[in-house]
Amino acid sequence: MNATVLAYGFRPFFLLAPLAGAAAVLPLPMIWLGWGGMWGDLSIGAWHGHEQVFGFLSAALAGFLLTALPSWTGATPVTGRNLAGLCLLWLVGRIAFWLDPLLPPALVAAADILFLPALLVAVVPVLRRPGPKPWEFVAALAALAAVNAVFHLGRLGVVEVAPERAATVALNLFQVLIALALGRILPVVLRSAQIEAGRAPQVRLMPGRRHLAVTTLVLFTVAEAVVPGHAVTGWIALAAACAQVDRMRECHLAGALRRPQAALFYVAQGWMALGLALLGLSALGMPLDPAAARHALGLGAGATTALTVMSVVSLRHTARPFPLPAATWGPAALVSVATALRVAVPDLAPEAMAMAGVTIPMLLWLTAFGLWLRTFSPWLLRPRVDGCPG
Amino acid sequence: MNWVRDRASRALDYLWGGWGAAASLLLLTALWEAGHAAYGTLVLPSPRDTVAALVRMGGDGRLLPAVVETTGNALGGFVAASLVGGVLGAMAGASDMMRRLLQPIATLMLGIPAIAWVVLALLWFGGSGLAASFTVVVTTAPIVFSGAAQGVRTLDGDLRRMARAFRVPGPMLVWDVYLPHMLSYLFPALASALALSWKIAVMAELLSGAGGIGDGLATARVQLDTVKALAWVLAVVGLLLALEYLLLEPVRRHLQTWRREAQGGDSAMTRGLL
Amino acid sequence: MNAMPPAPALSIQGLSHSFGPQGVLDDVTFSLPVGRVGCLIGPSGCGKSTLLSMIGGLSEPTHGTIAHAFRHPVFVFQDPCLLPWRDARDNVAFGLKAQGVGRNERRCRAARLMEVVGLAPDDVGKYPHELSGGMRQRVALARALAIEPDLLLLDEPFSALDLGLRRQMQALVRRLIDQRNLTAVLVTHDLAEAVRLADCVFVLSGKPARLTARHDIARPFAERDDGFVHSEVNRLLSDPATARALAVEDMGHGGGQ
Repeated sequence: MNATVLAYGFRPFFLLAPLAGAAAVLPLPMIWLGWGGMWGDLSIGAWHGHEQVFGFLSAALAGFLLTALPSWTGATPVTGRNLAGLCLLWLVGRIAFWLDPLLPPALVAAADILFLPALLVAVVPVLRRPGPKPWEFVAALAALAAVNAVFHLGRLGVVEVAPERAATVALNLFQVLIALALGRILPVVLRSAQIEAGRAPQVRLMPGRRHLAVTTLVLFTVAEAVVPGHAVTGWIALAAACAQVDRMRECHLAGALRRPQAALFYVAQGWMALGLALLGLSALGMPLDPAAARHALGLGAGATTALTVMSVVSLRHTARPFPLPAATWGPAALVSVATALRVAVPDLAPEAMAMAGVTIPMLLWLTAFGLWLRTFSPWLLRPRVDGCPG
Repeated sequence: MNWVRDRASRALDYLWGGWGAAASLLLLTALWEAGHAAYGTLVLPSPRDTVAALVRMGGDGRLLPAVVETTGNALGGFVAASLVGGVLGAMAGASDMMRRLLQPIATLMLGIPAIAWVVLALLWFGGSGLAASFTVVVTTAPIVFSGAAQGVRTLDGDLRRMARAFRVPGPMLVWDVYLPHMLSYLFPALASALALSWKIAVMAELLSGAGGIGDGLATARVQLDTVKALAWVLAVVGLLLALEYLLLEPVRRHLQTWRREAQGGDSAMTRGLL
Repeated sequence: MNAMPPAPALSIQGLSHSFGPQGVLDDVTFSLPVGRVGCLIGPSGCGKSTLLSMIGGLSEPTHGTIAHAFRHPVFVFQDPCLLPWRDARDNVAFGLKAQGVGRNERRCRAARLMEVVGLAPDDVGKYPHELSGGMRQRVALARALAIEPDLLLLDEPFSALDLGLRRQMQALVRRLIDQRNLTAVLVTHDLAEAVRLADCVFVLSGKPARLTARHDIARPFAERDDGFVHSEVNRLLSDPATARALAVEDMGHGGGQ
């Protein structure tokens, strides 16, 4: 790795995240090719879920936090050797998971469990800065690290928790993180969208609306951790879905939704609401596939937000001008098509699952990240356009 | 064109607000479900069973007649109370003598518990719908009275002088000057009176056994049928919510257009989806 | 013919008025020809506004007579007195509605008058609380003009406005009076305003108030510049009765103009 790529946290992690995302879908065809549904002693579903959440989404989160938290609080960003160390910890976890069938589970756990606590240690200093403290991100990150530990302890049989359940809780925590991050990002993004659309910016967001959205998501996460699939959880999921839709009104500003930076977050919130609603209905006894609903959360909300945040942060912190390039909204559109297939096919046409429900979404997914990397990886590898450090 | 778009975006904005309300109500439903899980069906039936019971009652043809009956009792009482309370209140606002005469009586009426009125009404009118309507009148008329009195009393003297200078005819004076001002006091009173009239009507029906939702509740109580009782409660609540969000709140917003910017808050958000 | 003074359109004879035992006006007599602007000036609370409302027929004097041939007197008050629940256009159309003019026609006429008094087309749909003080006073003026008055009764209509706005509105009102050949009575306590706008200045003072002085200002409105107003104010104040009547007011206002 050269010096530029370690100049700021977003650079290495936004290069690694798409690679992890692509890698995490590669073993999926094994299921319908009849080569067995297991990766070592883990079901492929659990393996895939863990890698998407703790590989792909966690790398995107790391890049975001290591860049955004210092720029909000004025703390010193993690760079150089320390940043390389964090990347290495993340990479060790991925390699261990790839080689999972060959390694003892305890070793895989030891290799994978270290990254999130290390990231936590790296970002905690922002809480010592004067001014408003982003403790909610730190708390969510700590919870995420704990859930990863539970995943491995459950797998090793130390605690009585199925690894799949830990992975779903982690995915729900990411929904909380998305809702939190949008609270910081949307005011800026909506303003820039209105200006790009030639309107006078008039962004006045009501905090109550986003607090309700976050609170219901936290309740849902706790409910799914404690009583998954229970009717109580179902009602809370429906409440959370409604609160997200309610919050989507934040984007109903003249001209804003015509610009990708606002429209993509709007789409992501829409997927989140749909996923929550489907999960809620399935918990209340409707014959819906919860795994499909979780893809609306992970693939729809998670990946769309990740792509958009990664693009916005990369442009801003390499001093490149807006508007967002086609390499942002094109891949995001492919991701949404993939989500639509992955969510709809299991419930509407289960017989077409192998092709329309898994393979096509997988190819769209790979194409999306290929396109994104083709445009953005040179920018991440080269110095800022204006010559400033970072 | 602009005007139409403004209206449409405000309507969309209002309807969208329903999602927030739905989130709140669904959380309450979750709490209800948790109570059901903890205490069992006998104490608290599950929300889904209750809705199913409500649907079943609708299918049996028991729900609609009861709802119509209760609505009739409540609305009849409410209309009478609005007329009596409104006219007397306006008189009390306009004349100091009338205020001295009527205000203590209104205060006294407000102090009598509704349940006492129900008992008296049963003695006077027997177990008929009239008892319910009467109770609604006597309990809600004082509320309307206070609103109307305050509305008339606070009329702006300068506006009255201006209207006189323009030789405004009587009906127009009432319609263009007095009513809009009075409505800002009268409407909140009417809204709470209307909501209250349903609750009072149900209570009176429950004791009189003369049909309506209250009668249904009484029957469910006798049969120890919690599911059915809760289903009746759900019917009342549904009626009240529909009344509030489909009638009162839109009217409230319409009446307040002339204050829209002054209230601040959400106005920048109402510019709408384009 | 030309040498004859125009017939008095408004004539007040021996007018006295009292509220209970308290005398307000005592034996006031004056007249005003058609097309002229008369100004009632005097210290605050001397009964100017009472006199004006009697001219407009809102109240009756205790003694004396008011005779005039005007069919549509109209008031403009210091407070614009707009209906807060009607937008600007419907406020302008208020007087027309009172006369029974149909909805479309009165809206059309109101919109035209709003232009005449210098309001922008955007202001048509605004509610009073969305308008500035000067704009509100313009709406009130348009509302007064809408009923096509022949007598304009102005009760300190400019005193709530700041100086620049006041000058603009004064010019606008006088221009409209001349264009439409209206007769106007202006009540004010500001001598400079009286000198700027009026053709005849009637000074009221005392308790109960009597007419203590009367001045004619002959120069046409268009030629009254600041210098003229200044020297004319000084000329009027050289009359002892006027100076005494306005002594208190003068300290506050005369010097600043």
